[in-house]
Amino acid sequence: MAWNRITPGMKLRVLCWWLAAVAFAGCGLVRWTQFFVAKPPAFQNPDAALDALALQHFGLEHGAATLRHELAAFPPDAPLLVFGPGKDWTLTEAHFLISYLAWPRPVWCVGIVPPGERAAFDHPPPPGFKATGLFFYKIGPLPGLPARRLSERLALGSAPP
Amino acid sequence: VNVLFLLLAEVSTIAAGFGLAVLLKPDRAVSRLEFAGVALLLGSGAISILLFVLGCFLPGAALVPSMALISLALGFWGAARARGARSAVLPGSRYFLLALLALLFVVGWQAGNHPLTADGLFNFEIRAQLAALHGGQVPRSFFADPSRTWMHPGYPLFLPMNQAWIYLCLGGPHQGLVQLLSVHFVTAAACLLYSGVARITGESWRAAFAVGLLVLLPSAMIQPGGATSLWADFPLALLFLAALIYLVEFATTGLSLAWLASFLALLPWVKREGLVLAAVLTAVALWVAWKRGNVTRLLLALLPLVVLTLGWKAFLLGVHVNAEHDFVPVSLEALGKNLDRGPFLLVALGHELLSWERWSLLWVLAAAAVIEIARQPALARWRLLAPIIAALLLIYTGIYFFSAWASLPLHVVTSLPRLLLPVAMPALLAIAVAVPRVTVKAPDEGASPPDLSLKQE
Repeated sequence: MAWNRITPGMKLRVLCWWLAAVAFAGCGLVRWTQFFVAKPPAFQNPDAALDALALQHFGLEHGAATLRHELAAFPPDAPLLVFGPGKDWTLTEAHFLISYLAWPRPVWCVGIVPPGERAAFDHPPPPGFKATGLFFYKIGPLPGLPARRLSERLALGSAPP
Repeated sequence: VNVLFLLLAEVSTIAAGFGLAVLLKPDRAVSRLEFAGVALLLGSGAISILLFVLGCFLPGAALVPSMALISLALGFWGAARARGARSAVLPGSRYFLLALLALLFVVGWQAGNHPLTADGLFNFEIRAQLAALHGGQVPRSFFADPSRTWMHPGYPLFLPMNQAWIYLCLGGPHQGLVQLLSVHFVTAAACLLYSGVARITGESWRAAFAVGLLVLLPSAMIQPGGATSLWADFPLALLFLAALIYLVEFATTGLSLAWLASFLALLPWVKREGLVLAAVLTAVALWVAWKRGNVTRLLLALLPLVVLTLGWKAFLLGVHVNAEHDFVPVSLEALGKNLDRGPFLLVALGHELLSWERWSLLWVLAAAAVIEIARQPALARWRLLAPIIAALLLIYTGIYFFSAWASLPLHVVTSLPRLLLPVAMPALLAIAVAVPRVTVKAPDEGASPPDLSLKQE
């Protein structure tokens, strides 16, 4: 049956459906264009994801290799601790990234907050925990602690004996 | 050289899946597209389970050749058995293949430009990395490490084992190349959706429309959890879609129970919430089987689901997995204590469903589609979609009554959008089958869709 032989009510129904479908497609295309990156894909980097995150959060170029090199100085069972701003959600990813690369070393995270407040983004160690290595993300190292900067946002120190 | 090893990983996955697809094939003609979709998906399931099991007993240099031999042997056996079998013809499949190639090019390109992030990296890929560096097995200590409970050690291994298989074939982890796994899952999704809708409705334009909906649904393709992000949410949604398609066929004809049961079994192996999806589909399948009088057959077919679910639970117990505390135990007491969360959860659900950035107009169209399906007797076979959507929306919103997070809004915002991705699959199917034709069939034309399963090439 052709378009001109269907009832006006049915025509309206079909029209509404297809207009909504076109709107659906329009929204989808807008989101695709926002997502689209018009450069060659980065298939060649074995550490593509880790490097991207290290650059984003720590400002470290080739961050996976740099951090692996730094972490190799610690024994495989050395407990590590990450300090950072406890209200900053990026502390989570900073902690996760160090933990990913530090395997099998246990890595805990302490969020620094003003007195009386509770950190929203940390994973504190159990009581009695003693760290071997300390990472400082977006905060300065503890006063008097031997530490060195790996980048503007990340410093590494050894816990006092 | 990397490309060759990548091909070995993909070919062995497809071969294993093809063998299983032939073994479990329904008693009807199957189109090549449908075989492709089923083989890709079953192959991923087979490779992940095989690697998990063999990795426990055969770690080291013998693992990759053994896996490859088993997979290729399954493929050759399947090819020999399928020789001379009837093959169904799907209308418009050549045009679909051309469009699919273009789509896969874009998906591969963009996946390569968007490295793994968040859950994709820290909950899934890390397991693959560890497995590849430890002879194919995720170290037992990973599951019991108290400093890494945020990595959700209880998450199952469907996606990580597929990634680990690629790493093992390549000779080491490679976060750049593993992104191409997105292409594998998108191919499976497009083939299954096109073949399923075209076969059941008999209309190729509806099948193309369904695939178009999937491709243009931001949550399914480009949002966190979508195909290009390579988190487990897209494979979970894809398995749910496959199970739905074969549930509709089982409800209508009694066929494809083995494929339905296979996809149901794999759901909890992808993500823990897959158990919820499997439970809802199982309830519907039981109702259907009871009406058809073959409950015993269905119960037997559910054995793989039970074995895989209990097997994974037993493994987690054996490795002393560290419990995660995202939710408090479900109880009436906990529900009563948190009832005041109800209004917030309803508003959050409404806000999420109307978020055009993630869902475009999917849920508005789905509501209209459900009404169309209820009104039109010709669409009666699709009426089981509405209760499935409703049940899942209810469960996935209600689960937050038991959230143990300090910040409920943060828990909802970070997880609800991805929980809804599998629920979008029945919504998408409903829209595709309910959208009216621009030209209406005469009564004698539109009585029933042609049975494509009987046509032969």
